[in-house]
Amino acid sequence: MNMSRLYLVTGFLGAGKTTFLKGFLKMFPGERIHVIVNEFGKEGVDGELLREVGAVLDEINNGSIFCSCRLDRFEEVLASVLGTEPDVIVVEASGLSDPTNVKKILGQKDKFPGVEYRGSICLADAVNFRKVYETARVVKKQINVSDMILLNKTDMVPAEQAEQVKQMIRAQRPDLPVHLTSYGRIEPEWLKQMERAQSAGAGSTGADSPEAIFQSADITLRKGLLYINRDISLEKLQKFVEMFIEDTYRVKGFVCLQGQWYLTDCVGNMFHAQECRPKEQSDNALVVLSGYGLPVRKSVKKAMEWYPDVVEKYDFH
Amino acid sequence: MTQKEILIRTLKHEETPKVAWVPFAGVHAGKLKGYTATEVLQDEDKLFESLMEVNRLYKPSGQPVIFDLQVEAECLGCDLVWADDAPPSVAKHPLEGEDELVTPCYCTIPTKESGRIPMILNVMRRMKEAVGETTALYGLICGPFTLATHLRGNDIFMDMYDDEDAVKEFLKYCCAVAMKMADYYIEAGMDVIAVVDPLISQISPAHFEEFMHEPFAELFRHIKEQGAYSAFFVCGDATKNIEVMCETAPDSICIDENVDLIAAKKITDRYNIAIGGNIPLTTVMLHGSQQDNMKFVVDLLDRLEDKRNFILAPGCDMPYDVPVENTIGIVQAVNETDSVREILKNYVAQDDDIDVELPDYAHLEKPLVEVFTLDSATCAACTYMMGAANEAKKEFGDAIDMVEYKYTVKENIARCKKMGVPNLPSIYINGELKFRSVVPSREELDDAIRAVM
Repeated sequence: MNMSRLYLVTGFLGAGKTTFLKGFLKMFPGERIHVIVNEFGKEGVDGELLREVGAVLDEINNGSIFCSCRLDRFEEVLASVLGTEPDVIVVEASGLSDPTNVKKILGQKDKFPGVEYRGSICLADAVNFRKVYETARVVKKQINVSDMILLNKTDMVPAEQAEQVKQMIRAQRPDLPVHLTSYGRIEPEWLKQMERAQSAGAGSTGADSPEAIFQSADITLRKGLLYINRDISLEKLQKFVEMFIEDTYRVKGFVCLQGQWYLTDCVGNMFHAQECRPKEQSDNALVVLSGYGLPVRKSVKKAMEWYPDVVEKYDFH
Repeated sequence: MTQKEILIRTLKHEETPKVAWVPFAGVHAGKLKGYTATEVLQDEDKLFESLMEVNRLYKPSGQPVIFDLQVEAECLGCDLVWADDAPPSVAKHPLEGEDELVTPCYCTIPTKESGRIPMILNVMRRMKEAVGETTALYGLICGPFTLATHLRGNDIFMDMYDDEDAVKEFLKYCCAVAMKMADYYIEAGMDVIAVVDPLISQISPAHFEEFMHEPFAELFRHIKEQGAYSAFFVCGDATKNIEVMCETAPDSICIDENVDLIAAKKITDRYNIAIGGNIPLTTVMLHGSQQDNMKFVVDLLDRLEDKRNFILAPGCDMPYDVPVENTIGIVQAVNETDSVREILKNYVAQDDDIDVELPDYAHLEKPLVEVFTLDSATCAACTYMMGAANEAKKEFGDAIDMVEYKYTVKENIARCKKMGVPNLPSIYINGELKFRSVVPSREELDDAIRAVM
């Protein structure tokens, strides 16, 4: 089977995805490329460009742009595209669609064995990033699933503003490479770096250790411990953690739930737990790391209101 | 007590003998009669005919007349792209790209003559006349924030940062549109006005409070004053916004599978607001089996400590291609929960000990019509299927044999398994599957029988 290398491209409207794609698609000369887009809109991929590089466009009709339950439509298009065994597939998850779900689908290796996932590139617009980061939740989700951020349009803002935006992104994802650029340019070296990290299994869920992330003493760093009730289900724990995960850098710990042990390690605001061997000395607690500007205490409190039986006691300092 | 009364009592927060059930059959209604989404959303007669079929097969407590959030946007100049199996999408946002967000003149608010509204109002009146006594009718309007996004595009998210006052003024206009739509629909006989605003899950509770509380609270107050009930539909992971949504005081809230219904109901109960949902659209309704659908409903009902204030519904507009038998399974599970629970138990249990002997289909003396039903006494679709078979039996008399196998009998489950019956109700003739879920016309069934005579 011919494996198709797949790249996920995200970014809020106006971040410069079209300009980026113009350059990006030319990085695969002579290869058969499919571009899957999920939204109608003015910032579509233009036909001329596609003809120039010989790429094929597949549109997903979502019915409504915001529908998060109809992932079957994306699966259908992806399956039919894979049937033609292209060399490269670029999935553009734009607009308000939740890229988390797209990434989850791509993670189903048994379902799409022809896919070789190469990583997710997020375009962020240095001019407007601060605004949409504040108002549109999807922007945080786009950063969550990313393996690389291209901070675009940096020629249009003062250097300090670009730096501020970079810091905002790093506050959410300290592990993520943020490259400053203009006109959506991407350096081949950045792409290689992302692919190396991906093939080493260090994608967005396998980031550096907390020690590596926090190289310098950060007095705003906050740490909390949540002691978890052993009788709850993993599903409930996930729902609980997802209520405050956006306000954390990382949530980690060994927990035993209904007799099964799990290593929970959530980086980049994605819940992640895998079964593991029993731990003799464990107090069944999750460590929650958070920092400046992240109202984690408040959101943990809210999550405990929703799920009163999850936490037996907690300790924040 | 009629199905309608069950729903109205639920919306009044009273106890009910059964759980109310509202299938959101929008474009899916068209599938039942073989019409495309585009046809059913544009043609008065086709829409009416399809809705009547929904009513007949799915026995709803309440049902929407049209599920299309683009109706208002279309009247206000948004270009739509139509599809055969989904509602249309907005392809062009008229106010997008302009530096300043300028609220349109209130004289542009759609009237009863704008766009598809006359067609919709006609269907509402006809549905009211036809089933209004026994089914509560839902008029769905586009929520102010989603309408704002249809008109302004994603620029609205930048406006919320740059110019809060302009956004508030703009949302006030969108709310005025919604109130007018509610007035038209209530006048046409709608019992419940559902404000459908999926984009609410895209913003934080703080932004909800800042921008949305006022227009939504005003809208729900207005609906109440007009004598109708209200619902607040949201989709996506709106978990964090459920509480601020409650603060706007709708009579009910509807959520999809992204929100944990059991946990959310504890919050809505605190506000004494009914909650509806949340059968998963894709994994269960579209791709699951009939048993999966029945199991989901029974499990959900069993997990609810207090069934007061609960409405069973799909997470959102049902996918066009949901197999009819899956919804039939849901109807049976909500109406006959105990017997379906038993069926599921028997289905899962190993039934090797039940030895079913199948007829020798190759050597039958006369045609054998076998009707497999969930239970023709309680399942509407099964009643119709059985009715068709009974008619045929009357016509052919002793020339054919006919038998019903109800799924409520343990032995029949084993028979279904042995025969490989994919879903119920189904009609087999001489051991071959001839009609599945969709009730045949008299001619179709007669022809099928004659073919083996």
